[in-house]
Amino acid sequence: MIEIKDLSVNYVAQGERQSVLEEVNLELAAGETCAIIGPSGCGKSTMLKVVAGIITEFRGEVLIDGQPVCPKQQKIGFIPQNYGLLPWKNVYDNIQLGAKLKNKNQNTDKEKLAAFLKQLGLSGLERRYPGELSGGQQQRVALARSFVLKPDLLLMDEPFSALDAITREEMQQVFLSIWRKYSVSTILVTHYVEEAVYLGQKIVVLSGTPGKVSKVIDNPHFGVENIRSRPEFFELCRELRKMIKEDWSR
Amino acid sequence: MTKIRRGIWYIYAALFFFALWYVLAAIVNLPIIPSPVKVVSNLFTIFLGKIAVHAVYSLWRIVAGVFLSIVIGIPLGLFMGYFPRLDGAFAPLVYLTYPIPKIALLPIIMLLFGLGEASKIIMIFLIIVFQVVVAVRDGVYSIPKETYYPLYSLGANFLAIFREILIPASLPKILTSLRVAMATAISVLFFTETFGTEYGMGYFIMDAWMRVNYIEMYSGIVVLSCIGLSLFGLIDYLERCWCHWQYK
Repeated sequence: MIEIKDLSVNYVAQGERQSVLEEVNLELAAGETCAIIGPSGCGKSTMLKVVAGIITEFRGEVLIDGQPVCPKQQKIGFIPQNYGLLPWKNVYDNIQLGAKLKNKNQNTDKEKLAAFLKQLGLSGLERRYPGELSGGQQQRVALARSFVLKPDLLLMDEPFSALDAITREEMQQVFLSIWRKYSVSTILVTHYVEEAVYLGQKIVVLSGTPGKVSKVIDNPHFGVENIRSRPEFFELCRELRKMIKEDWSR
Repeated sequence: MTKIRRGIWYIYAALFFFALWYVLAAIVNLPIIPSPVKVVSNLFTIFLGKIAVHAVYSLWRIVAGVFLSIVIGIPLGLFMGYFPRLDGAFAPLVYLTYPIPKIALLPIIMLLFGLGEASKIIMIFLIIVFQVVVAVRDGVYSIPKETYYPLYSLGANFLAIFREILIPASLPKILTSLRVAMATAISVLFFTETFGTEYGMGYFIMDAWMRVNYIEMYSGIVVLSCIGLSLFGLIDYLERCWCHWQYK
C-alpha cells in the first residue's frame, strides 16, 4: 500500500520560493495501478520523484507499506521519460543493473531472465546497446529492468509519450500483460487521457500551480478485454476530458 | 572491412609523407635535409645500439607523467563535476592556473626537484593534469540528470554511481583530453630532456645536432615522432575498446 499524506514541495528558483505541490493526499492499494494526469507544470513529475526517493526535501508523509520512502531498503523501479537506460551498457547489463545493485551476491535466475526477455520480445538483442534500439525496444528494456526486480513500487514518468501512436498502444498492452503477471503497484504520470483510462485503475487529476489533487476516479473499465474499441471507453475519455478542461481553465 | 580500409589510408598517408620528404631532400640537396632513405637505413643500424635506451627513457617519463595525471586528475575531476560545492572551491584555482604556461615554471621545478627524473615527470604531469581535470569535470556535468534517477531510486550508493555512471560516461572525454595533451607533453618532454640528463630522445637529438650528425639527428626525430604516434594510436585503440557504445 502506498500512502501520500499532506505532501507539499517547495522549490527555490532564482532566490524565490515556489510551491510546486500543496497538500496532496493519495492512497493506493497494493498491486493497483494509478494514473496521474495533469497539465505541464502542475508538479506531477515532482510528485513521482518524491515517491521515488529522488527528491528528499518535502513536507508531509510518503509511506510504502507503512514505511517512509527509503530507496536503500525498498525496491522502487523508476522509469524516466527517456527510459533511463545507460548508453554504455548493453541490453543484458542494463536489465541486470537493478539486480546488481539490489541483491549484491545473489545471481538472478538465468532461465527466468531468458523467459522474461522472450515475453518482452527482446531475445537476441541482449548484446545490443541502447543506441542501436528503437524507442519501443528501449522502453521494453526499461520495463524489463524494473520488473525483473519484482519491485514494491513501479513509477513511470510519461513512459510512452515519446513513442509513435501505434508503438505506444502496443507498449501499453505489453505493460498491462506483464503487470497482470506480477501485479506490481504502479504510479504513472501521463498527459494522454486515453492512456490514463486504459492503464489506470485509479485516475488522479492534478491541477493548478501549485498542484493539488482535484479529482480521484475509480476506473470501472480497467482491464476489460478489448476495452479500447468499446463505446464505454470513449464515453469515459470524453467525460474525463471535459472534466479536465473545466478544471484546468479555472 | 572499414577497419582495414582505414588502415590502408594510414599507409598511403605515410608513403605520401615520405615521398614529399624525398622530393624536398632531392631539390634542396643540402646535408641539413638528408634523404629519408639514408635516415631510415641509418635508423635500422643504430636503433638497438644507440637510440633504444634513449627511447626507453623518454617513454618511461611520458608514461609516468600521464599515469600521475590520471591518478590525480580523474578523481579530482569526478568530484568537482559531481559535487557543485567542491567545484565552487576548486574551479577558480584551476582556472587561474590553467592558462599559465607550465613550461615557464621549469626553472622553479628544477630548483625544487633537482635535475633528475622527478622534475621531468612533474613537468609532464603539470601540463596534462589540468586538461584531464577540466575534461572529466565537464564530462560529468554533461550527464543528463535523468540518467541518475533510476539508480537513485534503486538506492545506489556513491560508489555505485561512480562505477556505473561517472566513470563510463566521462571515459570518452578523458581519452580525448589525453590525446590532445599528449602532443604538448611530448614537446615539453623534448625541452626538459635538453637539461641535466644524458638519456632521452631530447638529449639524443640535440647531441646529434651539436655533433653536426644530421642523419642521426633525423633518426632521433623519426623515433620521437614514432613514440608520439604510437601513444596516439594506443589511446585511439583504447577508446575503440572501451567506448564503442558511442558509435552505435
